[in-house]
Amino acid sequence: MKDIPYATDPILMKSQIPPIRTFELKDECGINNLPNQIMAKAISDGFVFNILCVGETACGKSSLLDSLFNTRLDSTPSTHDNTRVFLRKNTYDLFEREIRLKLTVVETAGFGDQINKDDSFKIIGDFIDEQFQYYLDEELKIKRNLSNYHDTRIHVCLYFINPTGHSLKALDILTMKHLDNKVNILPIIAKSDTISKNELQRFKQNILNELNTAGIKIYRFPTDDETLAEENSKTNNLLPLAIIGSNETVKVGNQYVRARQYPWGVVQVENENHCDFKKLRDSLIEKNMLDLIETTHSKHYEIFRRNRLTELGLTDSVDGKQVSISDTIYMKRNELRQDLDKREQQLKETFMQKVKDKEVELKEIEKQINEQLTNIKKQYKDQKDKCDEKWHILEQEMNLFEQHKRSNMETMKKNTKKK
Amino acid sequence: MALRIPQTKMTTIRQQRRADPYLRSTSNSIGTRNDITTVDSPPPIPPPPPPPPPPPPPPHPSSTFSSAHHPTPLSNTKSLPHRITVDDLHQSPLLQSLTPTTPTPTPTPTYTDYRPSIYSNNNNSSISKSILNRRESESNPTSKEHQQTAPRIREISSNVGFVSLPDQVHRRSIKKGFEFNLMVVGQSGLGKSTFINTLFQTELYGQDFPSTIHRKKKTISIDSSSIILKEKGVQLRLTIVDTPGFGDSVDNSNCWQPIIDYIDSKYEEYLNAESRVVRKAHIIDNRIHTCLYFIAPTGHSLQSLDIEFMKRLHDRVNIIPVIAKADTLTSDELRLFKKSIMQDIINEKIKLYEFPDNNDENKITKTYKDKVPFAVVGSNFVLERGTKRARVRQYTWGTVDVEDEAHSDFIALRSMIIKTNLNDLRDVTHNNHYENYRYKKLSSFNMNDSKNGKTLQTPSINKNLLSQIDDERVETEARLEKMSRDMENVYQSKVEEKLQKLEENKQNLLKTQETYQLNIQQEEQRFELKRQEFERNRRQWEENTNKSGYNDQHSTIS
Repeated sequence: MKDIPYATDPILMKSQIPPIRTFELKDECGINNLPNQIMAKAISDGFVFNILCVGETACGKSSLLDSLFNTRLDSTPSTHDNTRVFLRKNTYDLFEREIRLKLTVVETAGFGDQINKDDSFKIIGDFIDEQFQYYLDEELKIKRNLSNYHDTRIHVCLYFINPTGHSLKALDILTMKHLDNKVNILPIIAKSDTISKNELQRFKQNILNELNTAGIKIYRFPTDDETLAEENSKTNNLLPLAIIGSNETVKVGNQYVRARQYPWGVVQVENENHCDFKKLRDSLIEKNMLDLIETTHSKHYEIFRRNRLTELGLTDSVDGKQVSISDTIYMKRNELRQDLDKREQQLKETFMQKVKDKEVELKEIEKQINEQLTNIKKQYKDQKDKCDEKWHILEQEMNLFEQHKRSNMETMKKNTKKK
Repeated sequence: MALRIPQTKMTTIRQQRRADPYLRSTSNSIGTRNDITTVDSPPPIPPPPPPPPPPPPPPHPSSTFSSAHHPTPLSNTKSLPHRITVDDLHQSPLLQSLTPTTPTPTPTPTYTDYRPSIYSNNNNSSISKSILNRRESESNPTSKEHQQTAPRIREISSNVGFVSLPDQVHRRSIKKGFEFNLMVVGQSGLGKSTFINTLFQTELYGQDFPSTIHRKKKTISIDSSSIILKEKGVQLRLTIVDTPGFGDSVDNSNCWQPIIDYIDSKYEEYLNAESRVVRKAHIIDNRIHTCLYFIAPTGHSLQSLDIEFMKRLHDRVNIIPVIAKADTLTSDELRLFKKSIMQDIINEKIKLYEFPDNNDENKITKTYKDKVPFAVVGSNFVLERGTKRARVRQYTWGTVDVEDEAHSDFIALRSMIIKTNLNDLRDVTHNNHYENYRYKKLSSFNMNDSKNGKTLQTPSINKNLLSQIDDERVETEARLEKMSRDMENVYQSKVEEKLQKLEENKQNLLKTQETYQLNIQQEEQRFELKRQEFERNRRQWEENTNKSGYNDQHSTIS
C-alpha cells in the first residue's frame, strides 16, 4: 500500500518541522537485529489465516484445498439438496517445519443449488460481516485482549467459476459484486481440465471483461515491493487462474505426483503447462499471504468499521471541530441523560396533573355531598319549625279551649247557684 | 483412493533456508523417495560461515530439486540496498536456533493487570510435544458464540510454502521501519546526554548542545527530539525525551507530575487516534516505550526521590534503572550498591521492567538479566587505536573502556535494550501499560455517575463502550417504568380511599336524611294524634255543654 505513512516514510520525515536528521551508523549498535526480533515473535505467536471458498456444489473446493496445503482436510462432500447456502467452517493447525499456521477454511455448501438463489450471496456477505463484527466488538471492549485474540476475519475469498467456457453467470457477478468491498476476492476457474488452451484464453478474457464492466474489484497481487513486483505482475496478468485439484497420486516417470488420470492422458496438478495451480500456491501462500492479511485488516476491516461506527452515530467531528471518542461518548451519554431526565419530568408532570384533576373531581363530589347534607338539615329544620308551629297553635287552641271550658264551667256554676 | 503422503523429517535446515528465503529447498512434487533434503544434502549449500562473512551463496543449482518444474528462484541474492545480508542473518541469534527449548516458564506476573504470556510454550523440540502443548494451552479467548472445538493438527510436508511467512514478516517490517521512544530521567549532571550519544554511537547531543544544567528551568520541562538511525538497511525512528529540571529544585515534591502528565498525554493521543471513526492505517506511536532512570552513584542506596518516582511510574511505563557515572565505584562497591538498590526496590514493591527469559538454546545473546540495575559509563571521546575505535574515558590512572564488559555494563544494557528486547519493550507498552491506561480512562466514564445520588450499577466491563450507553438507557428506562407503575399504584389506592370515604359520607347523609324524616314523621303522627284527641275532647265537651246549656236554657225558662 503506497499511501500508508510508515514510521520512516521519507515524505513524512521531511514534512516535519524541524526536519528529522538521519544518521547512518558506522559502528555496530544492534539496530539491524530488530527485524529478527519481530520475526522471532511472529514465529512464536504463530500465524492465522482464514480462507473462504465460494463455489457451487461439487466444483472442486475441498480437493483444491487439500492440494494447496498438501494434506487431507476433513471435508465431506455435500449433496445438492440444501435449501439454502450453508457455511461450513473447519480450523486446522498446520505445521511446516515448526512454523505454525492456524488455518480456518470456510466452504459454502449448497451454493447455487436452489431454484431461487436470491439470498445466497447475502448469507455469505453476512457471514463475512459477522467476523468483522466480532473483531470490532473485541476492539471496542473496555477490557480487551487483542494480542491473544483469535482473528476469524476472512483474509481471502476464492471464488470458483464454473468452466463453462463462455462467461460468468449472473449469480457469479452478483455475488462478487456484493463481496468485493468486504473481502479480497480471487476468482479461479475450477476444474479447468475441461477447457482447452485456446478456449481458456478466451474464457479468461471474457471473464475479465465482464468483471470490468460490472465494476468488480478483484484482488491484485501487490507490485510495490521490488522483490516481488515482477513475479506478481506476471501472475496478475494470468488472473483468473485456472486450477485443477486432486487427491490422488499417479506415477509419472519415477515419481508420484498429484494428478488426474484420464484414458487419454494424465493431468498433473503441479505442472505449469497443465494448469495454474503452482502459480496460485506460490502467490497465495508463499509470497503474498501476509499482504492478504494486511489488506483485510487495513482496507476491508476499516471500511466495515467506519460504516458501523457511523451507523451507531459516532463521528469524528461535530460542527467542524475534531471530537475524540471520549468526547463523543460523553456527549452521547449526556444526551441520553437529558432525554431520560426529560421523560422523567414529563412523567412526573402528567402524574401531578392527573392527581390534581382527580382531587378537583373528588372535591366537587365532596362539596355536593356537603351541600346535600346542609339541604337536608335545612329541610329538617323547616319541617321541624313547622311542626313546632303547629304544636304551638294546637297548644294555643288547647289553652283557649281550656279557658273556654273553664269559663263555661264557671258560668254554669253561677247559673246553678242562682237557681 | 488416497495414498499416504510420506511425512517430512522435521530436521532443521535453517542455514539453507536462511540462505535464500525464496528458495524451496525441497522437491516440488510430493511423494518422492528423496523427499526432503536433510542436512546431508549436497554441498553447494555452504555451511554456517565463520566470522569473516562469506559472500551470499549463489542461486542453488537444481541439484536440490528433483523436478524440472521448479521456477527460477526469486533469489535476488545479490544484496539489494535494503536487504539484510546473509551474514547478519547467520549471526542473528534468533534465527540460528530455531530448535526450540523446553517450554519457557511464563514470566512471573508482576503486573497488576494481565500480561499475556507472549512466550507461550510454542517452541518445543518435537512436533508431538508441541501438539500436546497446543492442546493444553489452547486458549481461544473468542467470545462464547463462536467457540470452536480444538483445531485439528496437520503436519505438512514442506511443499506448501507458508514456511516463508516469517520472511514475509521480516521484509515487511524492514519496509515499514521501526519506531522507538525512549525517555531519560535523572538529575542534572549524571551524564544522560553523554550516555545517549554513546548508546547510539552518534553525536545526537552535539558538543554545543546545552547540557541539562544550562537548560534547567524553574519547573521541569519535557524535551523530545527525533532522529532516524540507519544501520545496514534497517531504519529506526528514535525519539528521545529528556527531562531537564528533574530533581534539581530545592523542593522536589511532585516533580514527577509533569512526566506522568506527559506519558498520559501520549497515551491519550494514541487512544484518540485509535478510536477515530476514520483512522489512519499507521498510527504514529509517540508513547514512551521505556524510561531509563539514572541513579546517582552514591554507593549507599536509593534516594527517596528515586523511590517516589519509580513508585509512581512503574505502572505506567517500563522502567529500567541505570547507575550513572559508574566509574566512580569500585567493583565491590558496585556490587553492594546494586544489591542494596534491588533490596530497596523489592521492599518498596516497585515493578521494574522484566526482561523476558531467553528462549535461545545456543545463548548467542547472553541474557544480562541479572545485571539490573546496569552500571553505565558514557563517553563522547572516541579513541582510535589502529583500526579499533573505542569510546573511552581517560584518567591519569587508567582508561575506562566503555564497551568493556568488565568496566561497565554498557554493552549489556545496549544489547538488552536494542538488540534483544526492543520489540518486547514496545509490546509490553502496547499490550499492558497502554491497555491499563485505556481501561482506566474508559471505565471512568461510568464512575462519574452519581447523579441525584443515583449511581448506576457496576458497568459490565466486558462489553464495549457503546453498549454501555445502551445498558444505561435500558436501566434508566426500567427505573422510569417502575417509577410510573408505583405512582399509578399509589394514585389508585389513594383515589380508592377517597372514594370510599365519600361513599361513607354519602351513606351517612342518606342515613341522616332518613332519621330526620323518621323523626318528622313521628312528630307529625304524635301531633296528629294529640290534635285528634283534643278535637274529640272538645267536641265531646261541646256536645255536653250544648246539651246542658240547652237544659239550662230550658230550666231557666221553666
